[in-house]
This record gives sequence, C-alpha cells and structure tokens, in this order.
Amino acid sequence: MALTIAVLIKQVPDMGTVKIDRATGRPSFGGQQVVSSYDEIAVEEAIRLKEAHGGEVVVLCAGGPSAKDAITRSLAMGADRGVHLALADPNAADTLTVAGVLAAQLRALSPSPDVVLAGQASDDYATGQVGAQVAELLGWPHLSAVTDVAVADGELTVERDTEDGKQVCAVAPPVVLLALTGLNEPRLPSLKGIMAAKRKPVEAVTPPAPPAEDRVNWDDPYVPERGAAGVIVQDVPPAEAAERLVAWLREQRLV
Amino acid sequence: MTTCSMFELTDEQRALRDTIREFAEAEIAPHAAEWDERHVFPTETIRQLGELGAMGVAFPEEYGGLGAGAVAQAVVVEELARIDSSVAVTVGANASIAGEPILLFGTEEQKQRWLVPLARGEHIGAFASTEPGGGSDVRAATTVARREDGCWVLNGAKAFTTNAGTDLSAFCIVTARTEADGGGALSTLIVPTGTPGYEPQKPYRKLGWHASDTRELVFADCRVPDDAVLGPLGKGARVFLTALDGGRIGVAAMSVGLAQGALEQAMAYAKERIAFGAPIARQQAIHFKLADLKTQIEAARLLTYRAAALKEAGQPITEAAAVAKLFASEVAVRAAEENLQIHGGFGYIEESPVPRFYRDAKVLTIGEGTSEILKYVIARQMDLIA
Repeated sequence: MALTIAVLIKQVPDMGTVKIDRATGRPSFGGQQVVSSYDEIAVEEAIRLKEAHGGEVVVLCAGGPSAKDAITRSLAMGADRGVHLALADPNAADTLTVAGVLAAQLRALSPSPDVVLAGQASDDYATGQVGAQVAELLGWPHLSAVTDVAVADGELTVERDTEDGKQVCAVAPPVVLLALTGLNEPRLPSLKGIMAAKRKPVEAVTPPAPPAEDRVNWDDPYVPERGAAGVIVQDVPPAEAAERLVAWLREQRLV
Repeated sequence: MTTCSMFELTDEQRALRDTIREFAEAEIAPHAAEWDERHVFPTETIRQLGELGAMGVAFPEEYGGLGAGAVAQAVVVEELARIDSSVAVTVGANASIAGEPILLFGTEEQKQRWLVPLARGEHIGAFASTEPGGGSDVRAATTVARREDGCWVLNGAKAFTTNAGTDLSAFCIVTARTEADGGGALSTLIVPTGTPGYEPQKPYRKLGWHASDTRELVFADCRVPDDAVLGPLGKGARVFLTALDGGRIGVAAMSVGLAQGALEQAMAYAKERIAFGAPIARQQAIHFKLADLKTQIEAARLLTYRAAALKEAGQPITEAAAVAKLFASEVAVRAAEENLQIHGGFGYIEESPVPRFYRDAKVLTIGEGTSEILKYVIARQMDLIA
C-alpha cells in the first residue's frame, strides 16, 4: 500500500552549542540551527515507510527564513517535497496556534496524507503539545511515544512506550504518529542527496498572522540556584538500599 | 565567477561539509588510531565514502559525479584531513590524479569504463609517474612502452604510488616512454590492475599516512591494448602536469584540514591543562601561538579555495595551485609541531592523535611537488626563469 506521509518538523538551535550566561540567565544559541532530534526520527521513519511501501513524503515546517534549511536537510535525507510556512517566531505563538497553522496546511495537501509523523516534542521548548493538537484539530487518532511502525493490509501496527512497558496498537489511516528515540537511527544525508535536494520543490505558504492575544510572553529566564547535593543510593540490593534510606531519614530527623 | 565576494561557502557547500564532518567524526575518528598503528587500509570506510558520494564531488553528473565543483571537492578533502590524513589522501588522490585526467583527456569509452565507477565509488584508481630515479623531473622517466602486435608492452618501475594495490584499486594511469611515436616521448597509459605483469610491491613503511596505500609498482612485460593510451600519444607530460596542478589543490586542502584539526586539539588542551593555577591558554606564550596558527590557517584556506574556484571557473591554475600548496603545507607542518609542543610530554605519547598529526604533516611539503619545486614553479610563472 503506497502511503502519502506528511512530516511536521521544527528547526531548533543545536542544543550542543547552547550556553547559558550565569550572570544574566540568558541563553546564547551559537548560531547553528538543526532539525529537532525527534522530528529527524520522524523524517527517517517516513522515508523508510516510503522505501518499503512506495508513496510520497512531504515535509512541513513553520518558521522564519532559516527554516528552509531544515526542510532542505529532510529533502537531502530523501523526502520528496517541502512546504515552508512563514511564521517569524513559532515560539512566540501559542502551541494551539501553531497546530492550527499546520492542521490547515495538512487539510489543503493533495493527496490527503495517510500518515502524519512528528517528533514527540521539540528539543527547545519541549511542550509535546503540537502533535496531539494537530490530531485533535483534524479529528484523527494519534499515538504518542511511537517506537515501531509496521504496515500490512491497509492497517498500521504501532508499538509505543508506556510508563510501565510497551503497548501495541492496530490503527487504520489517517493517523498522527509521534516519534520517540528507539524508532530508528536517522541517516546522514548522502552527498548525492544534498545535491538532489536543491531540485526538489519547496512551496512557500504565508499563513494568516496569529492573533495578538495568542502570543506567548516568556518571563526572563534565570539559572536556578544550585541546591544541596542529594544522596544517591545505587548498585545495591533493594533491601539494603531501603535500610540506608531509612537510616538517612532518621539521621536527618525527617521521620 | 564573481570578482569579489564574502569568501563564504554556499549553503550547498556547507551542507556537503557538514555531512562529511558528521561522517568523519562518527565513522573515522574512533578507528583512526588503530588503522594508523596497524597500517590498515580501511577498505570498508573508503567504500562507504564512495556510497556517500565523496569520490565524485567535482565530476559531472553524466559521469556519475555530483557536479558540485572544485571548491566543494576541496572542502570534502579538508574535512577528512581534519580527522585522518590517510583517508583524505586516498579520496583526494583518487579524484584529482586518477579521475580528473580521465575526465580531461579520456575518450568517451574510457570515461564510461573508468571514470563513472570511480565517481560512484565502486572502484578507485592510481596515477604512477614518479620513479625510483626521479619525480618532478618527469622527462627523465625510464619506464618504457614498446609497440608489439598492436599492443603496448610496459617495462619499468614506479615509486610512491597511492591507491595502486588495494582491494578497490581497478586501474593505474602510468607515464611511460613510448618508443613507437617517433621520438620516445612521454605518453600516459591506463593499466587495469589485474593485467599480467602489473606487479604492486609490498606497501612502504612510511613515517606517516599509515592507513593509505603507497607502493612501488613493477611492470614486467605488462601488455595493454592500443585503446589504453590516455590523451594524445607523446603528450604524456601535459597529462602529468595537468594532473599535478589539480593534485596540488588536493594537497593544499589536506594541509588546511590537518592544520585545523591540530589547532582544535591544541585549543582544547590549552583550555583544559592547568599550570600554575590557570589553564595554559591564558599564558601569552600559548595563546599567541594559537592566534598565529588561526591566522595562518585562515590564509591557507582562502588560498586553497581561491585556487579551487579558479579551477571551477576554467581559469589557469598552475600558479594559484602552487602558491596554495606551498603555503598551506608549510602551515600544516607548523600547526602539527606547535600542537605537539603545546601538549608537552603528552604530545610525544602515541595515545592521542597529536603524534599521528605530526607524522602525517611532513609529507605535505613533499608530495605533488616539494616546497622547493613549487618555488621553482612559482618563479617560472613570475617569468624569473625560462
């Protein structure tokens, strides 16, 4: 079964280069912008599904002009086309607003996607809300924390992480899947892929500006005070760990 | 070509660089010390680089390449040398002195047979010109190709040949005196590696570049057909000199990469090593060294990219390539030495990449023309000598 797969990606600062100024609490981002890591796993999964079953992978990214680099990276990995939704600063808009912009574009896609893939959460603000909100706005089911996807007979078998183990779900398209570490190891784009990416179409869309009341204001960030060092009890049998913990609590006169 | 610019890489060149950097850090860096110590040619890694597209960066798409140009080619070689010079020379030599002459001088049939698989990374090639008795003095070559029954029969020996004896090696371009052309002038012939009489000798025990394949080649009644001649008969010196010009940009790029890698190692150590209560980077004696290196590397990089940009634009490159290679290779040797000096005793121990970079650097002022030959080339370009 050939699949039309849409992938929602976000461009974020490379977390490896982020530094916090301890005096002002302000982060400096080092300039390097990358595809958010769970989103890259989503792109990889979409490409693998296409390679196995045929179809098309469309990448959607809402952001400023540099967001095009994130789309290009996905195209270099093997996605077929991109849609760049001009949104000056996605972090300044409420997550539901961003989800609304993405959902409207997904409704407009032709052919309509069978599967929408996105990362579980973004590397920068990590709210984990947008994917679920998109599903809700589209009226589609969604599965979060996805660690395996198999397609057979027009149905998807999806494995997901839960707090106490794994859950396997059968679901019929259309569906929104949120990718988690363990789903795959994203490929490095080949040099050929990079050269091919510039010939792949990227549609530029300017969505209506989000209403002012939907803007999110962020308080000045600060570096939390370092608290007293904790006590870690590990690598001992549970019974002994419990004894040590109780002894410590008594010592501190906490019990 | 624009006459002036910000001297920045394009988005595409940056994307190619980032991919090679990620590959080199993930797939080469963890193994480089072992390959160096055991003198292993990393066949599988070279194959992977081929699959990635690294062997065909500058070759046209119609011949299996990426069509990304000579600057991108230099950037790829530079990034590899930042981690491992042996891998960089394998890729650089393959593209610039094996693939490039076939692109420039080959017949359509030769391009399809040798260049297309080379650009796609399916096989690699070599160029053998230097002989035990002479290198840059190519006209003194004694290897002979004798005309016999519509074939060429090669006899002689070649020295210091890169990529001639690996599991991936498919062909070697050989300069030889062709007796049947009337004057015993130099010609170039493409010799498939499996040809009877093509005899790669044991790899050399080199000071550096331990993971690259360098050998003496012996030709003993090695018979190749008429269509093995590359370029016009008797014009082998031109093929050789053209290949060298491109090769020099490759060595310049390797030099920039090695120097950059050495600088990064030195900076990391200088920030971390505490002496007299502070990181040694705060000592003027150390940070002046690092600032000098940074300045010289930036200059070497610009000279290298400029030579590559001229090549991309189809301009003459003899002088620009010689200038870039001369300057960059001397910077590389200096950077490797200062890196070792800054590391002190630890730099002398084979437990970090520091000694490997030191050993790998020296050949850069020798291969593709010694610094002395390059000064001669530049002086000739300046009309100072005939």
